[in-house]
Amino acid sequence: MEEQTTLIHQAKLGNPQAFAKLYEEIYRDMYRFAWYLLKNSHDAEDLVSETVMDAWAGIRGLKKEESFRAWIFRILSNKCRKRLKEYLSRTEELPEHLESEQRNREEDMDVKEAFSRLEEEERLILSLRIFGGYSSKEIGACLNMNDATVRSRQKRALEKMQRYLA
Amino acid sequence: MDKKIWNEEEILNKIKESAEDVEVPESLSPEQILKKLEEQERKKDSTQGEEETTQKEQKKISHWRKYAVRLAETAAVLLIVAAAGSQIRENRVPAEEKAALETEMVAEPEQQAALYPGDLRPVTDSAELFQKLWDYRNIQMLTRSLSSPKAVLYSDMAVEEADMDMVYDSGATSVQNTAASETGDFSETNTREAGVDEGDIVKTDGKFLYIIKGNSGVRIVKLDGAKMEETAVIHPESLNENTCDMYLDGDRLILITKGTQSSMTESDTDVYTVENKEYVRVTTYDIADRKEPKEIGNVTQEGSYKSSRKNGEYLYLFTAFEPRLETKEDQSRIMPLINGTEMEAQRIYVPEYLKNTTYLVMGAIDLEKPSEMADSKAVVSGADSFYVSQDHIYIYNEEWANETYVTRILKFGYKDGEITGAAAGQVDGYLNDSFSIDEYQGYLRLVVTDWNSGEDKNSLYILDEDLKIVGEITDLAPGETIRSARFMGDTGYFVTFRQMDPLFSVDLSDPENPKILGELKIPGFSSYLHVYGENLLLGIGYEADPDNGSTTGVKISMFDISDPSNVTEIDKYVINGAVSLPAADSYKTVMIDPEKNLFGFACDSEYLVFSYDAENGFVNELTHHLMTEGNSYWYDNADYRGMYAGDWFYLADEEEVLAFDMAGEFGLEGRLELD
Repeated sequence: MEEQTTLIHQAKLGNPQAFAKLYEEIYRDMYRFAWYLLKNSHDAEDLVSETVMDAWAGIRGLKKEESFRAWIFRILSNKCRKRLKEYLSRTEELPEHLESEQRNREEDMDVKEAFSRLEEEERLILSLRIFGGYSSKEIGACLNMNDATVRSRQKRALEKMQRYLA
Repeated sequence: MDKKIWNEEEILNKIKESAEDVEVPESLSPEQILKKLEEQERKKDSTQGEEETTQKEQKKISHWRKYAVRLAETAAVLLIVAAAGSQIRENRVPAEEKAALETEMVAEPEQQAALYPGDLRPVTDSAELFQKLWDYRNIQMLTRSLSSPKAVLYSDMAVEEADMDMVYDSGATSVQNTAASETGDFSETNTREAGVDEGDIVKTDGKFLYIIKGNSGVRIVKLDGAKMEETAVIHPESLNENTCDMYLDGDRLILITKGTQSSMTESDTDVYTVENKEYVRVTTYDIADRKEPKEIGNVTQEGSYKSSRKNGEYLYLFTAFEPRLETKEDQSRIMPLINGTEMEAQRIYVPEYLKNTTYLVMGAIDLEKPSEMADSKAVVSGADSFYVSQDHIYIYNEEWANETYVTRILKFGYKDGEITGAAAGQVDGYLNDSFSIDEYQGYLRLVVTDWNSGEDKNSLYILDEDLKIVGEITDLAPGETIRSARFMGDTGYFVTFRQMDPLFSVDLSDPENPKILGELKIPGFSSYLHVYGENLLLGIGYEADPDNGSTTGVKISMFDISDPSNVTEIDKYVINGAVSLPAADSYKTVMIDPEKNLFGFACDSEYLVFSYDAENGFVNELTHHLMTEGNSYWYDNADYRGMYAGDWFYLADEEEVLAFDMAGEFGLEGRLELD
């Protein structure tokens, strides 16, 4: 925690190595978040890259008390939601199925499949929880819902997953 | 494969696990990203960029800018920079001036007798302000377009020295850093400076608790031992305002809220642009009848909320305002609105060194006349860190330039609701927090960390009333950074750390010759220091492995400072494995009252309360588990406030208040849920 603060401080003052160190802690989660949400590896890469550049440009806006992770995930999730909206209007191009290069275990494949069958909002809530590490209250603030709604939608999503995987 | 029914927790984990084989593209690896960022920084130097410039550029800009400001002052003529084909304004540039600008420096122009101290003066009218803002903008554009700026105009700008009479507050009283004078048997907000109140999310006056709930206002809760009862709710008048901060003043409650006013302005026929004006509102309520709070008055100040303080009957508000610069002054908006009226130009200070065009707006509100702004001043500076002593407001910010940190400081006097510019200065290095800067008997003491030639270095500086360095100790604890500090009159204590923690004690009785008295090396480090009665200093921080510096838990230490040259740690208490300590960054989360012998703070998912005595050392009075959101990857623990009233200890956040019986071993006796 202590080191985070020092790194954030240095990054705010324009030190790229400090920023890269902060990024190192979370970049995998960021990419996975976008990937699971958009179901499109190309767009996921684009949006993470955009997010990183925006975050670097705007890092002075990071309040001291706020976590770097929460802040950068907020930027990323806003971009992803925008992109999802665009997908909906693009009826000709359907996002690809979630496929990974290596299919390690059947189970993994099933889990990814099952996840991709969830509704957009459900994927969003679960991704924010799992990869973003947000609490229900924070997710609610992000999506303009109250936290009870978030919890019930999450429950519903997980119940669906249970059924798909059964 | 056997497919069982997984529970929710397991499914969440499975999803996370299934992601593990998702390979992140090479272009997003930290190494590649770092390359990209470094390249971008290099590009900004040679072509257009918004704010950042290289080291060389930085020096040259400052020279150009200073020269530009000087010309403006003397000629009272609007300056211009035309080389880049940028804006040329009506009224002026005489050809000679333009030429002078672009060639090497000639004689220094005559200066008007500076009426104001140091490098801080108000502008005379809005035209001058408009000009200075554009000068800054243009100089940026000019230096970017010049591939190798020729002129090095000044090597060292001679600063107007103290040979003019300066008029400013010098009411220096001895600054006490011990506990604020208690008016009753209850705890108060832990502030930076005794006598200067700060806003907080929870307040108490011993009989009631006042809690900011979410964004929707304040709950007033009556306290009667374990019995607690909501008596009233205060909502901000405007439905779309969010509550930021709160103060208590006897039978008055002051609420600080923020909002944005949006409107459409016509920029062309049938073409409009949205204009957003951020503002902060300070509303004063009469709560003599706690069940029926009544609004007495309110004022608004434009800008985003930065901070506030209360001293005596006045509340001081700080916001940041962004001017909108168009090519013509009448199309621009460069005056912040105070209660709907534009601020006068003469109230706006411009430091000699302009780093950006944001204004820090300062307002003073007489709580007896809460619908008026008693005084408004602004300074063109993006600085937004505050240290407010009994007599002065210090606003500072850090910059990274020339591979080193620089902290710029602006000083304003304030007294009975009147704010006046005093001085501007700077030191190399950055401040850890506002405890690292301290005013005493007119002198400003600072401990800073700097990063120089690849290594961290620490220094102590003492500045006089004009913010000129009069005493210093440099190159302290190389390789370490400052983690905490506490100045107490003639003595100062600060902690540096990388693997071991030296706690330094400094003799500051002679401002021109500060002396290190002693150095206590112990594992771990304190992030927060507080004087705990006579001759005792409490440290709250971390324990660490001395071999590698990694933290192993949270630690509280009690130091005997009866002999500052020989400080000893007489007790410690380590909470093994703990990581989250809001007290490290946020002093308001600490409840501390040495006279009552009680202090409390949140640590990981618990709220801890301790007392201390010579015989038993630290005594853990309470360890209470906080209900944080399950599955959250980090802690909400900074939103809790502990406080006591009489023999009852209350723990509050925006969801609930708990009552613990201090006379009954801190047993949990009451609970109130706030809906």
